[in-house]
Amino acid sequence: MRGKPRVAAASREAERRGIAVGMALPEAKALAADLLALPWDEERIARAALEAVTAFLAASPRVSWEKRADGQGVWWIDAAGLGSEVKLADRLLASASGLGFGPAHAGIASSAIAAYAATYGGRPETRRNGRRGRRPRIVPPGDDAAYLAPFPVTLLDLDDDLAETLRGLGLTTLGQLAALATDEVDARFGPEGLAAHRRARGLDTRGPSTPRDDALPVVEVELGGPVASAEPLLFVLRGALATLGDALRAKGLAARELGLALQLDDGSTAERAVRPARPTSHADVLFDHCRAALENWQLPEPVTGLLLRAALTVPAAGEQGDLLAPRWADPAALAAAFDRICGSEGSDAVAVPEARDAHLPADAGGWMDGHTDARRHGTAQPSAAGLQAALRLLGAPVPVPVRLGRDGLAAFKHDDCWHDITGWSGPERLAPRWWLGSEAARDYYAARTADGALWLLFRAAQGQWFLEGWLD
Amino acid sequence: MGAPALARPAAAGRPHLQLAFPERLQRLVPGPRRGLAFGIPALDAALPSGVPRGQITALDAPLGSGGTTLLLALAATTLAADEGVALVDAERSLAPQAAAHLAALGPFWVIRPRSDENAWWCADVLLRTGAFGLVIVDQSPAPPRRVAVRLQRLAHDKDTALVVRVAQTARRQVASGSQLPAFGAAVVLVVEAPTHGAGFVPALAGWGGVWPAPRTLCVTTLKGGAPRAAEVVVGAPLPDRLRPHWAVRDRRAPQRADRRPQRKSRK
Repeated sequence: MRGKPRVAAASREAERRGIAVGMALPEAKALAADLLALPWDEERIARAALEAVTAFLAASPRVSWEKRADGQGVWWIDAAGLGSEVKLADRLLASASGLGFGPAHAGIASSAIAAYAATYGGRPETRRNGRRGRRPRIVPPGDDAAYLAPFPVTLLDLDDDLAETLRGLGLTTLGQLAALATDEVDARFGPEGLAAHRRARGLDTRGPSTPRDDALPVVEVELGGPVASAEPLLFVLRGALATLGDALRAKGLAARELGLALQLDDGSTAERAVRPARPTSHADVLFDHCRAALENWQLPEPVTGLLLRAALTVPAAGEQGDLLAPRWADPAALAAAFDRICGSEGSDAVAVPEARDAHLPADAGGWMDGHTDARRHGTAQPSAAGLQAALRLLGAPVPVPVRLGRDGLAAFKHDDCWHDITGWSGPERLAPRWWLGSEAARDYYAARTADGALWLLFRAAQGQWFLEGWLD
Repeated sequence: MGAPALARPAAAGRPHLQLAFPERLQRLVPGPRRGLAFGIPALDAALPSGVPRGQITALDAPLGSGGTTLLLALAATTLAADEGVALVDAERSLAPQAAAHLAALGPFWVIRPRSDENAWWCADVLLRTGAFGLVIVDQSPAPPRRVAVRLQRLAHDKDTALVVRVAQTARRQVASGSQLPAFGAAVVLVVEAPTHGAGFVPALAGWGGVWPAPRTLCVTTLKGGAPRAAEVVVGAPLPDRLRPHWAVRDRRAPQRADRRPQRKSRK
């Protein structure tokens, strides 16, 4: 019964006694005085269906449940490769009977619609336990369309409009519907009619599926007592993250965001979100981020427990390794290592060098993010002229005192040490961004010192000397 | 993959199956592997076994002596051999344009830690991945003994060559020999730059400007083989703005002889 007291579903015994779906309850009771009427309980039905799925999973690895519009429950069960189909059906029927279900029916076919139709067939017999039932009907492979032909179109669970239209056209059996041309069905009845036409021909995409566990992994740890220092918490956190990482990898997921909740001694909960630079399931990377979150987290009370949950996940990226590559790197492991370094040393710690078109030494190159793949572009040869010294630059040009002699540059002072200059070249005037007027021109000099090193100096417009780098 | 080929050795009377391994498959065959090469004929001749894999190699090069140049040359040949290279720039002073050409050769990354003390931790993380054939730590303090032992073990486990160039302040400790056992370096290369002879030469024909002349470095094998010395010529890179182009006429005026930096007049 649902809402207004009407019959929503009836057992087959009740149907035999004239009770039909949609009948008013008093009318149904008039037909069967011993009618047992139960209120409609969706939750109870779903729970019972789940119990049945759990029981059927012992017989087949792929089981799914579907509730039809008429209130009947249908379980689709994969029977392929499981030995005798008759024995399998008997086991399933015994399981259903053991769960307290009424007389269940089993049908075996290549398509779901034919298997469903087969539940109406079968040869009645009396089982060993004394109950009456039907032997499961097995539709031979390839005979689905022929088997379905005499069944009524109501088997398709159509909506009322389409069912009425088909009835008005005199299409009462699946065979008549299947005999129509596909393009005509599509033109006249649309997608719904086309789907019904396909099922009438034994082409049904429905079927059993592997049960999915969509719940994201959660790890909860209760500490032995209130903890006020970070070390024991980090110790527990590392183990919890390892468990969480295993659970994520088992599901083929990587965590984009973690929820780190700490249960405090006063019963309250403090929670923070931890977002790694890239989705990952590596415990070490997640631990570094969680530790960083804990370091600047002021907690009013000692901690009594922690809860880790994967708040946001993405499918873990996978790549087939190359057996013959001498040193193929797992991109996930490499990304995890870079994430660890970036988490500890800063986001710019992993970089790829890039040459840029600029005159100033400090502008003639840049660092790209080490995670990007754009670095494959560029020239492979630095120059055509043999081995070239590498330029090293100070973080920023450093003002240095310069001593000028009779022949020009004589020495400069850097790191509290005077460096005697034995030779120099320049000046070469470079005007950085002269069109902006923000920076004045620089006169660049290359100076070789007595120890053989070659330094890069420039003199600004105000006459101030700067050391910018050296060649190494 | 090449097809197996049957060959009949002259000494043996029975047919002998000889697989014609492709080049990539030969790398999987266990056997003595040559170390990494610098790609510099003179230096590779002085170090015939190359930079050993699974070992630490120390490079003793003073500031400005060309040590970075040699490390980048080693990285280039390693990348050309289809192996990954990571360079830990402990001083964060490497100019990106100096190593930009390596990024086009293969998987090359530069790690720039916040402080030079963290360079060893970065090297540890990189070695654990096993993704690199060469890990370079440039301009870092000498590693403590326990760190060196751990890195040595990691390099051995991953069959990775770890090349270390210690900073100038710690350089003498390594080169003196007393710290070598603790450092654990299997090969020590010493680079000496000439203090004279490298002058300035005209950079371009028809242009009055001069540019630092190429100089010759002396690289000596201090440990890891018979003491040998090699001379390596290193030039100063000419900026792109000074390179001539065949289609563009150089209209720059010759440099004036009297253009010298002048003393600031005292007022």
